[in-house]
Amino acid sequence: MQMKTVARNHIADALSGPRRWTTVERAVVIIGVGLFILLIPEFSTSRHLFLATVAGTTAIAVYGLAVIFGQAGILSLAHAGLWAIGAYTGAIFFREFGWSYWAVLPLGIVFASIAAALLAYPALRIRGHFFLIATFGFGELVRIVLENGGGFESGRRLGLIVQGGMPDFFGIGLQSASSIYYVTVAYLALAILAVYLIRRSGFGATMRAVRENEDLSESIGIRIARTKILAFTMSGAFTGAAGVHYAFLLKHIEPSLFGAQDGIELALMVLLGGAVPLLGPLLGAGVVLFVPELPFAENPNFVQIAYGLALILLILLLPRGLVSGLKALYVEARDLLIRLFASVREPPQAPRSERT
Amino acid sequence: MEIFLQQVINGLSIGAVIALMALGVTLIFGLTGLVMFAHGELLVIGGFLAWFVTIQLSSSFWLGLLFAIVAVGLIGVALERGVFRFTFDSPINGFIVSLGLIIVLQHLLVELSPVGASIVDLPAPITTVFDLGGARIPATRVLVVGATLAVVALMLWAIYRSGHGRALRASAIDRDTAALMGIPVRRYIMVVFLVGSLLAGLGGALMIGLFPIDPFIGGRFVIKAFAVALAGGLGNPLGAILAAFGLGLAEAMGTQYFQPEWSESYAFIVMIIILLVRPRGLLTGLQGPPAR
Repeated sequence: MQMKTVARNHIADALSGPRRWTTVERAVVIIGVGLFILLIPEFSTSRHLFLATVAGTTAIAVYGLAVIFGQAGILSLAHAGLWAIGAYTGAIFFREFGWSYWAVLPLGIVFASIAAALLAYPALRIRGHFFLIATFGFGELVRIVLENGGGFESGRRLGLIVQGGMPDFFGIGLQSASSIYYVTVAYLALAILAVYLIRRSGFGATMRAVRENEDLSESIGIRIARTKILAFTMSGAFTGAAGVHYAFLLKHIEPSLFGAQDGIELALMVLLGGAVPLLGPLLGAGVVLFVPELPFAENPNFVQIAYGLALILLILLLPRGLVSGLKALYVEARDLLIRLFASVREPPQAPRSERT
Repeated sequence: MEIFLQQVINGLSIGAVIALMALGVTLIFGLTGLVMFAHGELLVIGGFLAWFVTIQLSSSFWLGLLFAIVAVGLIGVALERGVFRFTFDSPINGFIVSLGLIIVLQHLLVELSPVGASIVDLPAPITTVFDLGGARIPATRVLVVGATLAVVALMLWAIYRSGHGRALRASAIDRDTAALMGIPVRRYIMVVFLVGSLLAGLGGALMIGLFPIDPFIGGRFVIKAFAVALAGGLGNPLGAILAAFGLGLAEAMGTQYFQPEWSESYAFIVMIIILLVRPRGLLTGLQGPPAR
């Protein structure tokens, strides 16, 4: 194909139909973000590298939340609780029973999924904000249980210490901070891939149908309750995995890390980045964790106030999140530029297939 | 027996604070479908304002009480006008906005409070202690319960017996039809925010007469308020009040006779069980606008 045709098609793409990314732009963004993530250890201080590792781990949990909010329309404030279940499963089985990281990782996933399934059961009966209130209650209940501790004395308010649990990953010794970072990035990539596959699967379509119209989807034979419970369980699996990794990463966990406020913060990350764009949760987690590092953010109170205001303004002005907002802004600017410089009056109607 | 009586009055006074909260959240929900989680912060702000006037300005507690009620009422109206009225089309957005407000109000309070995030306390406004067959009943607690019962009775009368109450209930059942009948629904929404916030201000000021508070205590009360509002059937004021006193008593008895560290969790357990078994509450209430 001639360059001219390519360019013309590109312009036609940009000007006609629903405004979307062209393949080239999408590739540039993905490669750019990927390179940035991979190069972080090269230019950041050890403090920022650790924070980036924490952000990556948090983002895995946020993806778990985003996939149910974005696809099934279920928002949950219980995910800090599910995260805690993953983290505490990892810490307790590692400390008390000497299980290895690799053994507790699936266990954490299973436990968090079971808890999520048990919690999702009310979804059978209640909709919308009633469910949200219940998840909020669940999150607080988990924290109270953790604070009161079970038979694990040190598991009370003081927290649990998880020292030296990081295993060798396929022969890579995890002595250095950057190798832990790269392992976390690999996990994150897996999580994003999983979200991508879930969205493209039939189950993803089912979830979207339930989100759009429960009664209608029920009438065509979709089992609402089962879909919701399954979606929530799946989301719990993400969060459980993030929890186990989090415990081994922080080396010290305590109940106050997983309170109601943290549940709200996870929801903030989802809403900030946007639940539907694939990079939304990552951006949300990154922004929330790195904003306190900005120079003007010396007073932690102001940072918190800024989060709260950001959440309110986002809901009122940009309910689909930052990624969608930036994208719309970019597309707007791009189209304007194309109009100015290419002076294309009537774009040729190139045949193009609609993809979703 | 003395201990039992003391715990009864303790339970009732905690229940009173929860009832004042629950009345506010259940009214706001009934009319707008909004789950107003930042209501707990209004309670705490009420407590802090009462403390500020009483201790920092070394004025009387009664002046502080009055100031707290008025100021929190105005804050509530300001929030409705400035923020929440934009969310009434989508109550779930309103809920998320209220979560954002929790964070904002909490840290604003820490920032503005002369003692930062520390606990504040004031001496009992009435030092009299009744002696009831050996049980020592502080007059403050009696006052809290009495004042709450009076306010609640007034509210229930206004809701169930007055013309405005009828208009309010009609708006709660069907906002659009009520508006067609000439009821100024928007104005009623504002009034409900005002009244709900006034009650939260009163609750906060009474609360600091009972026990010390810190800026982060609000979440604990709002979840209790919603637990009892759910138990009574969201949108049903009478049910919420009965459930509030019930929860207060259960917590006090649990603290005395069972393991005190678990008494915080009763509200959540009650709430989750009710959502599971009877999502519309024990006394079926108004459903409010359809949940989306």
